[in-house]
Amino acid sequence: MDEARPAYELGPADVVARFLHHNDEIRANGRVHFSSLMPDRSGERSVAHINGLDEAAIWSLGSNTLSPPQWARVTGRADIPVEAVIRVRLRAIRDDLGFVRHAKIAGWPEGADDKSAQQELARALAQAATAVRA
Amino acid sequence: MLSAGASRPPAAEYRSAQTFGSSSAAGIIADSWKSQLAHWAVSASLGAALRDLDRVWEERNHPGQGAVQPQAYLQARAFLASLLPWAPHPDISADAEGEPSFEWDFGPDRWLVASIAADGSISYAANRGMERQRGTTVFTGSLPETIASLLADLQRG
Repeated sequence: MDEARPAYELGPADVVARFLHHNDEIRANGRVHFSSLMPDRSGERSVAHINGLDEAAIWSLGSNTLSPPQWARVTGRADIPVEAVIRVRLRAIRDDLGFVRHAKIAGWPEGADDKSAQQELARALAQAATAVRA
Repeated sequence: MLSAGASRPPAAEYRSAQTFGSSSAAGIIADSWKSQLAHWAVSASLGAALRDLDRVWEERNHPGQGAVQPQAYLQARAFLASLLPWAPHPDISADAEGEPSFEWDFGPDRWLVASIAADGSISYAANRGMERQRGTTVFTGSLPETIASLLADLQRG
């Protein structure tokens, strides 16, 4: 059974998942839409550390971590190798905040004019990610 | 709103337009058909893109993070109308700030991503082989030159 632990940096052998909630987040070509991996207003992208979990446990993690209004549902997920995160000089940090296995992709360019830089990085992550439909 | 289904020519009519003789009258009629078909193709592409945008709106039409801003939605509609006469249909979604977002692929290492804000500002990033380009421009009712130029270059291959 997983237990929360102090935050630590994930390595290239790790995989994180971004749970998707809208059908348009997986493109016609089967890849993840870059916008799904853009940082949110906190300047980070929340993900889950999924190493060592089987498929059922991963989906359960996605469903159980939602505390949303009625509309929210998990439509899929983007599995992102942390190696790809490191390659574009971002960081994947598991912090267990909110739920055990919570992690974040951090280190995004900041500032009002840096959205296009974030888009470039999000696109690189989306290309490295594997889209999985629920 | 444009409807792709309503304006698509029936297959039988299309075939008859291709089998006119070689007289000048037939040529004029065939050219007229080609022009009409091109118009239908544009209408269908725009109609499909606007339906995609509507679906993005409907799936997020609720308060909270990720909801599409109404003014950004309207900007996105106008933006799509300005580019779809000649640009390919993008994959449309929305980012965490509620900005409609567009993604095009033109081959390995040839792509463009963009998002449009409520005030019409467009953030974009592109890759043309070895050349990267990114920045911000503004949509004021017609397609910004930067985006038009990028799409034209990417389509040329």
